[in-house]
Amino acid sequence: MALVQVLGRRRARRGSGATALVTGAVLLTLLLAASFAAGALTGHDPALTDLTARFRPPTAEHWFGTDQLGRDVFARVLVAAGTDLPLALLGAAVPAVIGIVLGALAGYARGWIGTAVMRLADLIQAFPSYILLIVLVFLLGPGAGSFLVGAAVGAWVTYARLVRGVVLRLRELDYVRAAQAAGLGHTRVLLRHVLPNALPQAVVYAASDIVLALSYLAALSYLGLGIQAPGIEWGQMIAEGQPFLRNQWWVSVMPGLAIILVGVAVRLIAGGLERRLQR
Amino acid sequence: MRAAPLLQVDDVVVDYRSAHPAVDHVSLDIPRGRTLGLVGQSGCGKSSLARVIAGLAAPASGTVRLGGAVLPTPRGRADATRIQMVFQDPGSALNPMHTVRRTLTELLLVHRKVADRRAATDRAVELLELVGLGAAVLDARPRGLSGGQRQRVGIARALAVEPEVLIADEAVSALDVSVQAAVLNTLRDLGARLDLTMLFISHDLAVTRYVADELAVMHRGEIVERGLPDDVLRHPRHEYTRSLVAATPRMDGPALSAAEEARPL
Amino acid sequence: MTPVLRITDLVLETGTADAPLRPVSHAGFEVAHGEAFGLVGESGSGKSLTLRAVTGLLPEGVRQAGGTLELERDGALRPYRFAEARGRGIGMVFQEPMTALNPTMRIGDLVTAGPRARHGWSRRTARSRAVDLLAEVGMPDPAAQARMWPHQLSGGLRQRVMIAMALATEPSVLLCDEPTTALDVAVQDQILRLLHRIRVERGLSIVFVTHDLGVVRRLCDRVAVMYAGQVVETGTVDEVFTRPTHPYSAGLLRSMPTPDTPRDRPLAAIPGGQPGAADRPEGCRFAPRCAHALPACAGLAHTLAEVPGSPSRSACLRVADLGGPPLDRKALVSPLGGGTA
Repeated sequence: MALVQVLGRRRARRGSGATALVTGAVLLTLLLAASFAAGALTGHDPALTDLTARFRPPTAEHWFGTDQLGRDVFARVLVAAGTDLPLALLGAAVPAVIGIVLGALAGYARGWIGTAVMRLADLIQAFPSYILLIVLVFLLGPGAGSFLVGAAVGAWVTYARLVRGVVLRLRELDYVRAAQAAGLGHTRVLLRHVLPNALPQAVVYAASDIVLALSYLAALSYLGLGIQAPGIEWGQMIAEGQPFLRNQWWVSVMPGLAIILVGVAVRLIAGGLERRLQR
Repeated sequence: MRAAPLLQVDDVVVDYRSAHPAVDHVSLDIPRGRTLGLVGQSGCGKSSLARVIAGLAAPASGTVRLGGAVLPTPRGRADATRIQMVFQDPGSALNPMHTVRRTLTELLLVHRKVADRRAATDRAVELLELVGLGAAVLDARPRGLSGGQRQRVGIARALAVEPEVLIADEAVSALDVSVQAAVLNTLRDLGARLDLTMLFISHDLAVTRYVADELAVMHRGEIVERGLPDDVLRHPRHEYTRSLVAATPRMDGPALSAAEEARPL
Repeated sequence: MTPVLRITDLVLETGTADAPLRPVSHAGFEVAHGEAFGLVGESGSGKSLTLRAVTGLLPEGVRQAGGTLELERDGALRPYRFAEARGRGIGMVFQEPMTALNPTMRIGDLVTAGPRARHGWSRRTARSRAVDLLAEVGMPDPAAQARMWPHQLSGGLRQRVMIAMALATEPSVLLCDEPTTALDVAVQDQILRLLHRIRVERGLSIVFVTHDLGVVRRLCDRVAVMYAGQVVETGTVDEVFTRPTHPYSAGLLRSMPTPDTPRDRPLAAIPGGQPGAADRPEGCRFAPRCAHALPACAGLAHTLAEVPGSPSRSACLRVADLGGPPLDRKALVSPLGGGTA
């Protein structure tokens, strides 16, 4: 995949960017790995209800306490990472890919393709993104698939505009002209000469968009439109714990902290990428 | 006596829908193996003309012929490589992400000039040696090269597809004087060795005179004068050429004097 | 007579304090009253930075790490404060007039904004001064153009506005950073003649930074040639252009084609390229490209020394034994020849 090539070909020379990138990536990887071994790591079954052990505060036995059904919050937070992280990554990646492809086409081909893409973008941007997402998910019915569709419909526009702008500038550069003058086909010029040089900005943007996708997902679940039980998801956990926030704060706060941790990790990755890809 | 022209530009108009077309019914021809110098100031239409000849832009009317046959725009795959261009800006003339090796081998492989990757690299080294570089820069990216080196890679890239005509559009203008001289030497040397037909475009009279067998002066989209380089510089016939020659400061020319100070601005 | 501007041992640094780079090191020259002084060099030689150091307008991250800058006042050279000097002693003209002119101000207001604030001129006084100045720089219709916006003017006219702005502060030195590089030769010629006339009429001094030797020949009386952050030769234009005393100046002069350069021979290029601030050699920085280099050149400390039999000063170790007959550009063979690489 072109994107992987781009990242692989540029080796980090400045330590700061690489350190942030590695730290962020390690954090996310650990969280994801822990989600698969939640039971073993915590010694608790995340789904096991124990009404005799309701609302236990954080202790050595239950690190994050237990919830209103006596389930171990730590185990549930870890398991939920297995739902939230992949969906957040996809929720950022799907619109990024769609937007990059459409934006590159719009910038390189111009003509009616470019006009059509940009009109569509204008249309979509006329709606506030949360409203668009909620309406779409409401129409399609709750669930992970609806979330991905809803996120993609609203978010590709930014990538399309970003990439189109860069491509419009790049296509006037002499090396692109030289490639055209040397008889290279349009597909080849676009894929080998234009797109790789337009990608870095979009990639950085997509990395920071992971947090946005995560917050969309959590918000949907909080509204009951996202991941349905028995699936476990952080926004859903926050919503469930909300009535008990005053006295049993840990039920909502612990999944909230998990979201913040992911936010920090993603920020580190995006910042590191940005420094590495900067000219 | 002149040989039959290899490149013929007939009555080309490039129209930006203004009262003054960027290129206004321009015709010119270059015999095989010769270099035509095209001199003009920025905005005179010389770059628009170059892009039409290279097939990068379609003319509003007129034709570009090579060896007698009309070249269509956009060029077909077979014709695409017959006219190549060296660009002005060493900063943007090369793909910043590609190594020199990749820049050269891509063209060699796509156009089947070589059998495989190994042969492509060997040929790339030959091309680099031809332009005064060597295998040492194969794995460099543009950022790691000086302006002069980049421009030489640009020339090597243009030569990779074995063109019949080479267009150099302000190809040395962005270079420092001492580096410019070396690149000019290379271009001239290549012209002679490969029997290249060249269109050398520049705003600099002295530089163009040095490389060209014949000189054409372009002004407001038209060719206003054409002749042997020394004739054009020493006995310019057109008023515009005369003013151009007079206004060009020469390092062996006169200093401004009290007399000139009285001349109207 | 006291010079009007003197720069001594200027050192400019970038980068961190423990690993600084010096784009300019020990550059120095002086400019006499009423003279046009050319500062020539190729890109990266430090000529523009040197000029900007004189105005105190160094780019972000570049700092003056040594040397003195002095302007003449009351018959003596004195160090000066930048803000004060910019208001009266020195005027500046930059290469790119479009970015140097505030697009939201009318031409007339732009020209006199500085002195108006300083002298408390009324709007009317400022307007009429502006029109006078625009007339002095040869604007075809100064009264009308004073009411125009920068984007309505051509590049050449914008450059004239820049010159008028600089003159509004009644400077004794006009600093010009490649002001004609972006212009066509016809317009460049007009600007050069304008600068020449202003210099003669006002008796001010001009420092003209350029890479174009032809422009220096046309406008300047004296010249300093910069290479890799140092001045390698200084002298009158007549002398330096006909009898260069540094192999770099000689090579530069010879590598540029003129209308008389023989077309049947290669140009005399200088092999290699100018080293960047990070990889400059010890000793003479030109030595690795120089056909006359001796082992001793690598240990040479930079000084501009008198040249026997020449009014120029040169940093070359071999000035005494290389000083020879005048540069013959047509022959391309001179004691200071650089070969034909």
